[in-house]
Amino acid sequence: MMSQNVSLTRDERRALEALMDTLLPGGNGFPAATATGMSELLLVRLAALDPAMPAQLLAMADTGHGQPADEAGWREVAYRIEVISPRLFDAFRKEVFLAYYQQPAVIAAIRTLGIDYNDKPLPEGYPDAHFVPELDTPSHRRGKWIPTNEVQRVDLNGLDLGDMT
Amino acid sequence: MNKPDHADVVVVGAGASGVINSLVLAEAGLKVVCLDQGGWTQPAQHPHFSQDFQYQRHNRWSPEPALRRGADDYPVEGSQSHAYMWNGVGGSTNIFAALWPRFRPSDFRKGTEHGLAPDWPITYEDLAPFYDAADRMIGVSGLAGDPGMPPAAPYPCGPLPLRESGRAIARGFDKLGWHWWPMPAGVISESRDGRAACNGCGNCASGCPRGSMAKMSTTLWPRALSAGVDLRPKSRVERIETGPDGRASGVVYIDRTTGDRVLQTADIVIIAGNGVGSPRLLLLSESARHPNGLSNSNDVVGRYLLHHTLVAAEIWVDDKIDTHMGNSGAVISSQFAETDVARGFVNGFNFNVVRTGPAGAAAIGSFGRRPAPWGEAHHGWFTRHFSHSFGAYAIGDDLPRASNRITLSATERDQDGLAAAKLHYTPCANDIRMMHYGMERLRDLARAVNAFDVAVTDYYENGVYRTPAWHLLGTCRMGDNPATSVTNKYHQCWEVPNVYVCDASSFVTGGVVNPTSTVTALALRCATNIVKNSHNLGRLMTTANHCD
Repeated sequence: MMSQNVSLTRDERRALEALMDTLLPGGNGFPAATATGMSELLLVRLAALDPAMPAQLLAMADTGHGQPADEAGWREVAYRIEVISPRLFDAFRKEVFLAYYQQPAVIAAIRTLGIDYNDKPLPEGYPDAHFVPELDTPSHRRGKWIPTNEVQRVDLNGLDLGDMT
Repeated sequence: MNKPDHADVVVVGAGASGVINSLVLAEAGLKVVCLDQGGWTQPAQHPHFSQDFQYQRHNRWSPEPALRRGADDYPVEGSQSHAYMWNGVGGSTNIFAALWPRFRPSDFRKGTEHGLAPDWPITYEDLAPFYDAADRMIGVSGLAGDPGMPPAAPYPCGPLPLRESGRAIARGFDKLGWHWWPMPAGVISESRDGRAACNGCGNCASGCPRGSMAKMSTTLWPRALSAGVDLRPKSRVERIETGPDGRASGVVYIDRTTGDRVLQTADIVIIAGNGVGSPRLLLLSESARHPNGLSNSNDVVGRYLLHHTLVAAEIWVDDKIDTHMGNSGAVISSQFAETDVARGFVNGFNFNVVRTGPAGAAAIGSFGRRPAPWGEAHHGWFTRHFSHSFGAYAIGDDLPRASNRITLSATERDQDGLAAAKLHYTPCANDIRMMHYGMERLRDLARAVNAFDVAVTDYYENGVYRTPAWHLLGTCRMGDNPATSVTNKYHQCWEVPNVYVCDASSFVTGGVVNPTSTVTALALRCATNIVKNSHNLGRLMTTANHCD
């Protein structure tokens, strides 16, 4: 990813990073968003998605008295964006989540849950599975189909289907 | 304008239908040219080898051209439906899930059954041998003996692993006393024809660079090229030309590499551009003789667009079931496939139960349309939910309506200046009732597996049904009646007998299943019929039964 596409002051960058960590703080063995080193990647993606998005988020983060001073204040900002500009918030959250879950530190955290999880689909895949006939073949005899020459007219009386044009 | 050598057949579109038509006709000795507006997608271009594969799924590997914004695509105007497709060699098999169930006999007889849709001009029995043969060509995996379907030839490959995810789902269906069966798939479970067996990587949604899935550029195109098909990627067809005799003389296309216009003459034109692209091309081919577009004096071209009714649920269970592993399709259920008017609607639906994918997809709520919470609750949610869910679609047979249609945009153009497609689609009252009923049955399924959480979606966005429309069907439908259809039962246009339309736009009804297996069977049948008449290509006339 090329960083020169993103032109932000240090304070602006810090503000967006605070918003990232508000959405994904550390906990349960998972790192906070910025602790994964994803900030630059995310900022580039946001700019690629909509060059105006960083500025829109920053404008929403400005409470009129500057930016929040603590985590509670940032949570208030995030709630406000979610309510007032849901499309902006949805797009931001989606980008934050997608960037986060590709980070090596996050993949390592997933593995600590006991989940066999590759950082990318190939080349490894998950090949150690087979169809086990005695276990996986349905034993039920349910299921029906109507042969062509047995398709019958159904009674539509009682079905008000409205405009069918 | 360049004028290369005359061809016996020119095929427009190099997807599932285009390659089968091209292959069969070339192997029969015909000179075949196939044109596609897009290029090749090489295995290394797929996102599977990159850690940002989930991000790419929402950008350059999005199934939605409007998000992908690729040069090979053309715009689809409209605020209803997310029209999904891939323009390039292999067509939408570059991005599909390769679920491979067949239509049922009653799907071809909805006119007889209720009259709110016409009968197909062919029956299940007409198509059955071509289903079998296409399955053998492609290498379909499945388990024979489904009591919910007519008997058929054994699948060429054994079933794919059911895995813990499939077993958990099956237990739910058993508890409800509902039908289920391992999902047939256009994915090879064993290595075959130089293709590697599926290794369960879990990223079917972005195609298959291994060649395990029936991605036509890696499965059938090599064989078609060996048979002598002259495939010309990056060739965007702008119109079909007709001569003074009313027959098509060929197509004019734009070589997108050089910018040149080329007239490719041929005895036969086969359009295989999908349910949006095929009617678009007929409409673009208007002329003084065909002022409404080619073969459209009855104003049927583009109408009767079908997507399937679609509602879905992501269902979370206590057991860790690893649903980021394995091919997409796990289990199918045809419990509600047949009409039962006591439910309050005609037609029916299937359940397609699928795996829900990797961590990013889980977090953004890509299946159930409900993202994970943000903030302090996020990681607890993720720890509890990830690897514990499966997805279930209720995919139903929507009724064809003339008002649901593809037209030409008055304002939008593709990069070569051709009018974009415009899409209009709204579900009717019958469709909506079926969707509501399907959502209730999805909740039943969630209860049956003792789900601790469920997210049900009806795909409405701000009051508009915006289905993820992988299935673009019905817009050049076949029929027995020239007044109400575009082609006869052999895909020949009524008004221009040497133009064939053969793809999902040929469908008369949508059935309750993913369409590609039926597209391939229809393509094989279409090509086989042309081969039978290859001594007479220049003189074929369109009748309802010219080959019977």
